[in-house]
Amino acid sequence: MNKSAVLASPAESLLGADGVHTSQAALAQHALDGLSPSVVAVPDTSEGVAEVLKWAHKDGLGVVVWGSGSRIGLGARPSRYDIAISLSRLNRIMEHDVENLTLTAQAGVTLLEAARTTVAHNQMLAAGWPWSRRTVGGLISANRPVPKRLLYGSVRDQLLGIRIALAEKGLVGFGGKVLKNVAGYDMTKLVIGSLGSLGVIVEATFKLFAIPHRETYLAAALASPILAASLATRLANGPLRPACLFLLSPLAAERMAKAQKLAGAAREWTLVAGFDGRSEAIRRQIADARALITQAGGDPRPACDTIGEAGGRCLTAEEESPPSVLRLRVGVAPGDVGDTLAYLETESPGDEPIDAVADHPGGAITLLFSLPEHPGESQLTETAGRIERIRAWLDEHAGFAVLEQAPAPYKSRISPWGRSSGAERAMGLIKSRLDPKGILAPGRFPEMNGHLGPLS
Amino acid sequence: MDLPPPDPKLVARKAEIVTALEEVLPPGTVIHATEELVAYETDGLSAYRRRPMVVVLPRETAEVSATMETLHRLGVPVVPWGAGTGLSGGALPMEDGVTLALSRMNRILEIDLDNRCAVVQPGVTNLRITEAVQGDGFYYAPDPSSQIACSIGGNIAENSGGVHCLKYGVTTNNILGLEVVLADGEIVRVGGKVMDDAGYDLMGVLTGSEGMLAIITEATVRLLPKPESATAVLAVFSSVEAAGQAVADIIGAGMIPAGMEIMDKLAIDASEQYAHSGYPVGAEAILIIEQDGPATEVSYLIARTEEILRAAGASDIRVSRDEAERLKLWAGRKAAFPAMGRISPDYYCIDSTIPRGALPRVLARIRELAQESGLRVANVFHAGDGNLHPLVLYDGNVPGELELAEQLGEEIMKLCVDVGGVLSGEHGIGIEKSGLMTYQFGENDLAAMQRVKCSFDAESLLNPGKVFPELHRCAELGRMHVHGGKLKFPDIERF
Repeated sequence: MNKSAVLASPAESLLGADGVHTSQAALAQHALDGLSPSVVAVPDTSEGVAEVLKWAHKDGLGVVVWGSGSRIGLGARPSRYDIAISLSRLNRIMEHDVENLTLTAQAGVTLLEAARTTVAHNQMLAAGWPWSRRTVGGLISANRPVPKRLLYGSVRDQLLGIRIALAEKGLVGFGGKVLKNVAGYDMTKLVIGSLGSLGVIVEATFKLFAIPHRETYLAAALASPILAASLATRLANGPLRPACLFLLSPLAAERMAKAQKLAGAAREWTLVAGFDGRSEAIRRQIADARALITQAGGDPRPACDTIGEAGGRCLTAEEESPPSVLRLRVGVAPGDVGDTLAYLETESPGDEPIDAVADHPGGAITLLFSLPEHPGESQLTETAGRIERIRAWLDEHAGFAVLEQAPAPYKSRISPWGRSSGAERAMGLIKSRLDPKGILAPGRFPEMNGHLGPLS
Repeated sequence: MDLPPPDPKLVARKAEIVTALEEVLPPGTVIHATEELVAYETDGLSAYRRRPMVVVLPRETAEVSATMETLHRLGVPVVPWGAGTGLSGGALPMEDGVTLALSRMNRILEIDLDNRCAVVQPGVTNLRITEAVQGDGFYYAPDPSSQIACSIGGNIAENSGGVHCLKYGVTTNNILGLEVVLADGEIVRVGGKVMDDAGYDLMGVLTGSEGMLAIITEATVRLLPKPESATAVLAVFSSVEAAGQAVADIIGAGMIPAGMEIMDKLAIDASEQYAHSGYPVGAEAILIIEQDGPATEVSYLIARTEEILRAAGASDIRVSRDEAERLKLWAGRKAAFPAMGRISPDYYCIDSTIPRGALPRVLARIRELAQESGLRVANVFHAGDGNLHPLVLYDGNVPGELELAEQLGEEIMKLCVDVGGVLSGEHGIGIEKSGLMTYQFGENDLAAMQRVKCSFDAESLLNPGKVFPELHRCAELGRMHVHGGKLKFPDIERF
């Protein structure tokens, strides 16, 4: 009997037949880095998730959790992969507390579904674009960047409470629906960006914001990434209140121009500043921003009141990347974004234009490399060497580079995480205490290998 | 509440402990004479006092590391101490332990305006950070009312809040990186100017951990550009409940003011006698709201705020016309706690947070509970984020009044948890509320936190006896059965 058949029976006893998929199509759909699970568990309750984990813990089965799958490529190849838990049926909005400006949703709820609920009361979840099909659980697990972080904060600033299923101990809850909470350790923070390696998020509570009366974007062409970044710093540090500041390489700006008139048609370094607020306030801020841009030698374009889904995808580099694209997330201090982009431009072999988008306030640069999907050895060596050079340069500037997506041959040659943080021991101990048998996202998360010790 | 007695075996080893510390630390760093220890007997929860066995006053991270390595080796508990202003007894010393006071680590190491941050040692006071950067148009947002005295290390340990946290977040939202020393002396850096690095958010779990996971030795804090304009509004209401409803209406309308504070009649009258801010003596309640941002935005927000306040029944509304008036409106609020000394010998400050929609009914119930207890309760609180600060007034010299005040406090805290709130919004659990943790959390929730504690401090030497009602031994979480205090196979390695 194959492993799927062996595992299907206990899984069905926990979730019922409709909560377990073992068809080849379902297993292939949940394949990861060349590995397929033996069963796909699709619980429709939080308790169901907890039951699956208790079973996996007892039998030592490796578990990988799936939200929308948009960033499932983040992380190393699993060292064990028996059960895929899909959260697609945990898709209920539990509470929209309008008076309190909070939303509690199950982990499989998409940002689009959340937006449909909150818009009726002129409120929004600012943790991502309202059109996104990403799930709130995935957003937290992968710690996705917030487009308008400068105004609304990051995921860690917006997440108020969480309910998770632990490998051994079942369901636990931390935080709540209040903004200030110092009762006990802030366990909500631990699961942000943890890729499901400490527990499975089943429910989350976010703070909401009022939908701004107006949002306006202003783009400006500049001669170099250093000038663009310097202007971004001035805009962020002065009296204006931009909601976001993105820097687009000429190649990315060209893509933006095709999707949206905002960036103009020319291949130039482009700064996009977004403003949320009242019309009068925005008009004045746009005028002031224009003056600063001109003063900095930039060429401001006509302001634009909406950028839509296509424009938003360009700004946060969220296009559906074809499988041949290698996606690298670079992190540096915001003040180093300009120098880093300039370095990446000069580092590019043969002066090939770089495809880069930077969220300046977050110091986050997304680099896209279009590569042959089935590379030869020389291509693999060259690409791995290039990533290594970039990481060496970043090391000297206290930065890092994480591989978010890559065709399988590249992923087997390039470490997904790069440098170690220096806090490996503490992280390893937390992992081993909360997931004693290491069944959750086994091998996928950084810092763990070599730091997991037995408990007794 | 009864505090546990010291371990006589540890107390008997004082000379050995002092010698071991003096061997690894510069002269003048270790103090142990009785008269020198008096200043460290109590933090802001002054109803409880204990004299520490020894106090260590390091100046550098390496000295903290040497201290921790030594005490870890000797098995001596450590209580971290910032400025001693905490209100939940989180820094209450141990008579069989060492207080590690970080007040001499008080240097601002770097100001980096391009990255909107400052790197500071833990003993730097909260206000000093703002003072250091305000000339360049920046400030550090969290502003606890003790900001002139409280230290940034203490703020991080307690995840402190303040008046302006409604819009700009509490301490955890304004910290970018930490350097900490672990229980065994290891120095670890987490976060920094570069954000969102891979790995668990240790900075998040360390912030607010009340000195139970690590010693903070350096912090990178976020700086914000000062808003272009700020205007304060003071509105008078016929009841605290009506003011609370106005807060819910404003939040429900989608506005997030920079601050929203309520004071009731007792607090208004006491504050006005003390600070002379022009508050309406005799009014049942006032609500102070501040809107900030670009000037045109603020003009609109203030107009809209006034509309909502009128609709909510405000009888009088004052709007600050300039910076001096704005500061004057706030001066009374900031003086409210010290002003309580004029109307009561002692007060017990509660710190629970509730969902904002529950404000009116919770405030009404607090009034009933106070009447039932026979004690007076003054209300001064961060209404915008639902962080209540009922001040239970009592006289510690009257036998039984402290206990009565604590009992009333407990009922109020339970009420807050019952409506979906939490035990503490910004003061921490400390010793004060540890007995109520099981009211808010289930057994598995507490066990998960305990596992995190054991990951950092398996011997439970860091600030033991705080926050949790009764800690399991870390060994028990490893499923080892400990009988009669004796471990099976005592020589094998464990963590």
